[in-house]
Amino acid sequence: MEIDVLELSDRSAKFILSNTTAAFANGLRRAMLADVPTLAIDDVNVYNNTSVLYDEQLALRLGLIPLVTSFDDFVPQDECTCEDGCPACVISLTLSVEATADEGRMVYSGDIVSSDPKVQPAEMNIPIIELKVNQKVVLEGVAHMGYGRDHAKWQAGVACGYKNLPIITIDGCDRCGACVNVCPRNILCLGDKFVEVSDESRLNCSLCGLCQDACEIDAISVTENESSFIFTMESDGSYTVNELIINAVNTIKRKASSMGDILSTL
Amino acid sequence: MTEAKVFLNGALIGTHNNPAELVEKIREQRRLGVLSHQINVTLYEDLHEVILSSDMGRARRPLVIVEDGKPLVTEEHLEQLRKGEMVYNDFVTQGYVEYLDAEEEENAFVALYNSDLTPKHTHLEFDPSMMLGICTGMVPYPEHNASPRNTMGAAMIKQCIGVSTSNLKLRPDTRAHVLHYPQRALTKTQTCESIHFDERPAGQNFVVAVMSYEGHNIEDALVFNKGSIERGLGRSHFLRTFEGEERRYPGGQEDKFEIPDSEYRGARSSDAYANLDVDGLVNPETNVGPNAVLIGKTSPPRFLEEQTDLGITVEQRRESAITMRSNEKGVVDTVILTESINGTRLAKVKVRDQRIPEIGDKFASRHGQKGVIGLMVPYQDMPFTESGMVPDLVINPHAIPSRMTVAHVLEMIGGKVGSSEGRRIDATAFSGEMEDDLRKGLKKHGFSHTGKEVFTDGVTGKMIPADIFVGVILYQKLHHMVASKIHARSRGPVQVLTRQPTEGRAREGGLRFGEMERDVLIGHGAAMTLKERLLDESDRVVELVCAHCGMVATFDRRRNMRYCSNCGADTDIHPVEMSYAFKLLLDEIKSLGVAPRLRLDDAV
Amino acid sequence: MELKIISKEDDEIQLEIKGESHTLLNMLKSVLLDDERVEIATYDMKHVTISDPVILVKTDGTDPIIIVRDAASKLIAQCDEFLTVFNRSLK
Repeated sequence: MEIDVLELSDRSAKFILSNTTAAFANGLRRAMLADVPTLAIDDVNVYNNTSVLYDEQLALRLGLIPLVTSFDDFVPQDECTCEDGCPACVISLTLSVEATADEGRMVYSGDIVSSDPKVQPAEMNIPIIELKVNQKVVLEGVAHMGYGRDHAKWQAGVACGYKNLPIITIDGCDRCGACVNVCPRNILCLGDKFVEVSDESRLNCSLCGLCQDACEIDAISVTENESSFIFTMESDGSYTVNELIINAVNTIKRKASSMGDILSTL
Repeated sequence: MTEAKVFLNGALIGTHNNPAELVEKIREQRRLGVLSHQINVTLYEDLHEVILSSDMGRARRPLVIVEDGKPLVTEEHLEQLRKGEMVYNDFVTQGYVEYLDAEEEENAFVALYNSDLTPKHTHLEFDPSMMLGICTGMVPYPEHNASPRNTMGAAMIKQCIGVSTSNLKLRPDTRAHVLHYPQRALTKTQTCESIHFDERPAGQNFVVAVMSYEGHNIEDALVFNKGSIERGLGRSHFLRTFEGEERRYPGGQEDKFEIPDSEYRGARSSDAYANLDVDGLVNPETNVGPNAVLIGKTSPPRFLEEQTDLGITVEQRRESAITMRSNEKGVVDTVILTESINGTRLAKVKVRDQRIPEIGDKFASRHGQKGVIGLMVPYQDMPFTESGMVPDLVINPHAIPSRMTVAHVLEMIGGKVGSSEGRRIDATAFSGEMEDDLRKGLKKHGFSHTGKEVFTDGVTGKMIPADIFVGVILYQKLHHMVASKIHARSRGPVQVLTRQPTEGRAREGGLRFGEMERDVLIGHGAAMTLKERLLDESDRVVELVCAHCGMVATFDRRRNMRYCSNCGADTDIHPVEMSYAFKLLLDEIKSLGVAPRLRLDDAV
Repeated sequence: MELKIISKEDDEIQLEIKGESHTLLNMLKSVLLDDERVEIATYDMKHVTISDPVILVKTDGTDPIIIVRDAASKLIAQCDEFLTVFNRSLK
């Protein structure tokens, strides 16, 4: 197994994962999306809402706000050892805003006040609702930890996808240039003797195969490498990308090892 | 030349020697404004008739007047119109544009485009898309669709949920729907702009992939992305208003809004009234379920009571509370207490119910491609592209070829280009953006010009061998939602007259086992099943019939014997199994003064 | 996670794994198929929303429970390899 990091930041990453199976790559992707638990607002107690949205609409918007999560400090409520709720499984966030008598205002996720300083909205500028003159919203949101497979608000990774590494072979080209024109991503270029593709632009190939159809002498062929994948992923802010990848792999490990433990008792 | 008859609004008013000149003069005077612009005149030369129409209700359309092969509306006029120096109505009053009804169009020779004009033409079309009405005009690229699909698309636009009014929170409509996140259409038409569809949009732009998915989108079913639904795709609210009035009855009695006392007739248990406030009205933001009481109301007794044994008339009031329908639930949104026209107190309670898309809800594109959700697939199981993009909706490719809705496919390409470039695509009939330009736009943004992309399966992780067509198209949520339709009954209320099960979901009715269904059971030879459906599960009744006179007898409980009140016999009275509808028929015949006598024989 | 043995023979086992989805099952199946001792390895989920997956493993005679345990260990090893390589590539 090899990993070649192309881009890496706090929120997004692009890397090449090679010498592994499609099942492993997909398992990693699915674990990032659905099996890494994050925090999100789950219950909303509305004390006052004179805004234009109904309570239920407001509650959905609050639930979708990503909250910064620390994997080790919190547990989902049904796995927690406490009876009724403790700081490890229940966090309270409040929102109390009012538009003045002169002008309206937009309420952002930055206006949410959390009871636990480690748990904050991942972005401060998500617009929640626009309040007109004299409208008011006072509510308390209770955040629980949950899994992306139960509801999209607990999804940790967004836009996680991959494609197989493209293999472009050119043999017996006559430099007609038909494939160069038809490629939508401008990957191919006319070299001196035949059509060429550089190593960086090869990664950009979408495997559409239009060049293969355009070539009349079958000089170019595009296939996929079944054991190498170009991964693109983004985190919604609840974890950094490094944390997310590591947590995803640890989640898979934990599942496999708990299965192994149960099997050894059988 | 024989005289021509002249008709005005269908009535013969006279004759004329030179009808062509008459018609010419009338049209000239109409264009000058001397005669009303609402008059239309037609000449049938072979029939020698002149038809004049000035009545109400004729559908007319505007056309540019052409003289000697040249339109009277010139480029300078259009420039003035653009600058605002001229208004559209000026064209009519000054005689450059006139309205023709269906009759006068018989005499007109209309050219489609400026380049088609010859000296023989009399009129010029504004734009070929003017042949479509309002709803059909909202279908993008209709000229690429088979015409029945345009008809169906136009019909379904009228059923979609959007933002119907902006003062929804103030109006107590009996039934209202509102979409949470409406979006303007990426592919729009000229008609959409004219009717201000952008200000009250009624649909959302979905990312749609065209592929078979595990057999769950067969026969027009749709496969939805569960993650998209959880993020708010297709969510709507359904609002219903219930009304109660303190009516006044002759005799001075009136209804009253209050929590009914347990002594009143028909009063429910005390926890049924637990949600009501002291004034008898439920409070806003209360969760209410089926059959919950919303307005506590009592009414005076229907008929005046007679004196009881003690000699006192007791005013036994009835409970007549307004309750939720038996198959709906929700949250009380608004409570209004006001006065009706008659001066009586009127209470209106508006209840809202959030409808998240579920299996069975109906969605449609604007091309007559309707479908019901068949499965909601978790986000991680959906096929994905290299950037991690996942479609919102997966439709079956079988829906396209037999229906020939090529505009659906074109709109998908147009939406893809529009969302990549951040602009809206013009898809007006006959003058929309060309397909080649759209495909060039796709290539410019790095997509294959075919519109297909490479997808990887979300379950196995392997690349799907064939490329999948994916695009962005406006889908509408129609107000046929399964929560409003789901209905079941095993046993329940029956009608008073026929003792057969009631009709309709609101009355908890049964489903009709109709004539064709009866034929099916006959065809199978399932005689006992047929009897069960039509008799045992419907209105079966066992009546005593007197063998002597053939009329229906009774069972006298006090003397514990059977007795025929017709002939006086008390022997030879037999029970006969029949449907109540048959017994009703016997009663109706009796009411005519004819005696329907049943002749009884021994059962074999 | 709960495991329930639906049927077991000397060379074949059907195991119901409650609370899991394609994420674990697909990876497990792929690791099992790489094992030479395995003749058939597949899993089935009757319906996405309501059922738990059942995995079927047929071996060449070795005890299937041992084989599945080995597969789980191999999967853990793959994950560890990924973590090592990933941490190395970050530097």
